[in-house]
Amino acid sequence: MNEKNTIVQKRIHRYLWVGIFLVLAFSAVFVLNITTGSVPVSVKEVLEALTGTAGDSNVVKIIRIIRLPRVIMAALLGGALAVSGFLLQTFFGNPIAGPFVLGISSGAKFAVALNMIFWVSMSKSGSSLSMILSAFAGALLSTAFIIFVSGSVRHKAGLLVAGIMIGYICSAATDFLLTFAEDKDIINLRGWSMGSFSGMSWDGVFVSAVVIGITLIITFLLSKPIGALRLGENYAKSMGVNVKVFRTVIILLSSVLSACVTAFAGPISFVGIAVPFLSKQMLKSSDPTVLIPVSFMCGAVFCMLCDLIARCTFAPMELNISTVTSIFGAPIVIFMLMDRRLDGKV
Amino acid sequence: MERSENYTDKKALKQKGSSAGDDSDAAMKNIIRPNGLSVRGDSNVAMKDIIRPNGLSAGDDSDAAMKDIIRLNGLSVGYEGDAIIENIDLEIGKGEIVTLIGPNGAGKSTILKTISRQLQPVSGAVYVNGRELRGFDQAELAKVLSLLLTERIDPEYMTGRDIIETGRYPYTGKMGILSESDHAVVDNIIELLGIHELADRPFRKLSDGQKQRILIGRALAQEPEILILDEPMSYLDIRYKLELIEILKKLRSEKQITIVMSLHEFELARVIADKVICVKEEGIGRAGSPEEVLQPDVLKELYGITDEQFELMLQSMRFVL
Repeated sequence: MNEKNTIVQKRIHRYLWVGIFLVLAFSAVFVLNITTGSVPVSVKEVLEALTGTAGDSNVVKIIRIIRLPRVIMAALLGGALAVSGFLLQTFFGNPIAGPFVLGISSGAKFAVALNMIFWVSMSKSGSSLSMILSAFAGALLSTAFIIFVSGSVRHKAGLLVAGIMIGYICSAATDFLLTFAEDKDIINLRGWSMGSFSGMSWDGVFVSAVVIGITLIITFLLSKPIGALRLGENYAKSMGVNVKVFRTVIILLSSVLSACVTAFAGPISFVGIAVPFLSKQMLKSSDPTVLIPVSFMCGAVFCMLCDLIARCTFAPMELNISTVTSIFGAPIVIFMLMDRRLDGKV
Repeated sequence: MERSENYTDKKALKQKGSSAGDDSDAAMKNIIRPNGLSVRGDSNVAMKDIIRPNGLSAGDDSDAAMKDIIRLNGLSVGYEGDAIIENIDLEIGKGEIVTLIGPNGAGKSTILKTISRQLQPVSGAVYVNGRELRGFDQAELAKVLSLLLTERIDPEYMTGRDIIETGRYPYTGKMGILSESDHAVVDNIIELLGIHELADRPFRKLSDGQKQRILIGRALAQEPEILILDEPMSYLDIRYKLELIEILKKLRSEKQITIVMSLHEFELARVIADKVICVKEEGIGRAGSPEEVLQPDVLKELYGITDEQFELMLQSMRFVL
């Protein structure tokens, strides 16, 4: 009994420390993102700009219109990606299942390519809105297909294969389209598919905050059945989870999150795999009630940091966000595989 | 009513020429009976040697329906519409321990999965407490019936206790937070199974036998009326096998829990089961009391072993003992 209590206490302490660390890291990286750039800004100036008592209108503009929405977006979308990945990993019982494993990014890319080549070149007014909408539509279309398939697939591994196949089909279709595309479209599409947080608007921030916020709340409220899935679908079913319905719900939630990310920033690699792993390591837990918020925070910090690096390392040249997340994310994934191998079990 | 039940059963047993007729165990009452065999007749020749046709009298039948916690009615089980075993009629009374024995791949697990609604019946129906299984809400069923599966699970960062606590799932609120009484149930189970030293260790680092004991604890934490155990003895060494037998018997006598399980160790079936059912590839074979079923001839035929092999088995047992 005593031993049990000390274990519970240890856990709570760990959660607290991780929470405190993340809040501090979040604040630090957030401030760093706003102050750092081609025009360095002091913290005092930032505060003045935000409270509306600032003098230099140029700095105010940079902060309000460019840096603030960008950093908020990086935080929101990074967090969303991490939670999306966490959901699919729990669902598939596989730590390598990322948010794009079900073909969502390829679906989005195909739709964006269609949009770029036909709509934008015809109208000559390639609005970012039409890009966002087409990416979102493409992502949801592949999701719809996966859900359609999931009804008649007995094993989850089958879903994984279906997702990968969708990816191939969409890539092939995209390649086919590109045969008829102009060079500038090809370059644009390539740039899009590497992801970027540049040019984020406040409208985008509001829309994604609402979509991601609602999805996260629903996800958090489903912590109990998500937790049951850790023992596999059959045990979850025996505990009272309606697995058939729940499958669809998880796919849908995870897809809305990653579709939102893809729509606004393009597909961003490795965040969805590396961050949930890091979060679990930090917490030494797989309990969704703590992992959902912590993964979100951790993903936010990770993406803000990566965006800072993308912006500043070779300024004024800007790196694509996936370039940075891959450089940091891929080693984490390798480490995590080695770790599993070495340790054998936990 | 009680009496006439008993009487008819004994009569039925005598018809079979079994010496088990005087077995006083009340749980013996509900021995397999092919439902309406007399009506359907020859459709089920293999079943003929099993005890008694249903519906001797209307009263008898309704009485049985009251007492039988599980009833299989012309149940065919299998995957994707292909039946492996067809037309099972079986009644299991409350507080009975029923074991399925038979060769690998005969369909023991398939039957257990169908009874626990992990699989849909190919045809026929399962009744639990007189209600068709299909009609149960998933969460409702979880309070009545819990499961030990043979599949391996690999949960990250969960201790043995965490795993056992998942058994409280049907009883906790929306966020799944355990109440004081939930914790008390879990503590009691850890006590009962004597797994203190395992409870606070990471599940993944436990040995197979230790994992098995944790998972048995998980099934118990669901506080079911019916416990379905698919090969509960696997991975356990002899001491824990014997302990588990004691625990299951205790659960039966103290809490009237009904236990249906598959066993490879038919020698253990003898000491634990009220009813033994042979499952072979052609379908359900013999069923009845352990004394009746666990006969050399039956076992040889069931497992397809030769006289020499059987002799070898007996010898090996003799050498050990």
